[in-house]
Amino acid sequence: MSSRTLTFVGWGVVAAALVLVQVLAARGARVATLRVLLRSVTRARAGQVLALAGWLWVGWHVFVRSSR
Amino acid sequence: MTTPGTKRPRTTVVALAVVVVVAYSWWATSLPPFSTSGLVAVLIAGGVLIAVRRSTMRRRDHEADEGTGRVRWPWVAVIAGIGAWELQALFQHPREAHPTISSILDPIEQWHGARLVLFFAWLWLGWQLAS
Repeated sequence: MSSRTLTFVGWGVVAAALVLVQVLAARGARVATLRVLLRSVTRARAGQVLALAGWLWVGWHVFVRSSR
Repeated sequence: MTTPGTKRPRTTVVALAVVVVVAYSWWATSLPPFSTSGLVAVLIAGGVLIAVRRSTMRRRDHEADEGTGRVRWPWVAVIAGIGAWELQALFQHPREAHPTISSILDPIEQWHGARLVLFFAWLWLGWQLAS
């Protein structure tokens, strides 16, 4: 298996894990949903400021600093 | 309880807001990369979203117990996995053999429609974080 394929398999695994956790949470398992997780992070003022700063950085990285 | 007289203006405002957001998003995602106009468009979108969300937000007291009894460790594990996989790809070369999230998104972002979908997802995330 090439490095490229292996890396994509890894991305597929983490993406599947993310979807699985959200589905389990939405179906009533004792797991927080993504929405609840975000609420937990932003409940504290410092957490919210850091999260929003990170969010703005993602916006810049994806939509401005894109090599498309 | 809402009366027809109060519901219609609210519906109109929401519909107008949706049109404005879609139009702005279309314009913002059509700007060239590495441009000042693109940077300003993203910053304005972020700033306005945070300001609007903060001014329209209802009290969150009722949500205090929303996550009670629900474990968060699966999310910590998933986020740690994403971070670890991104870092191992980032520090290896060539990039083609070790694609990061950015390098996977780059070819997808060739299409304006894909950039628009990503922009909506980004706005949704910001709305949640500003709440």
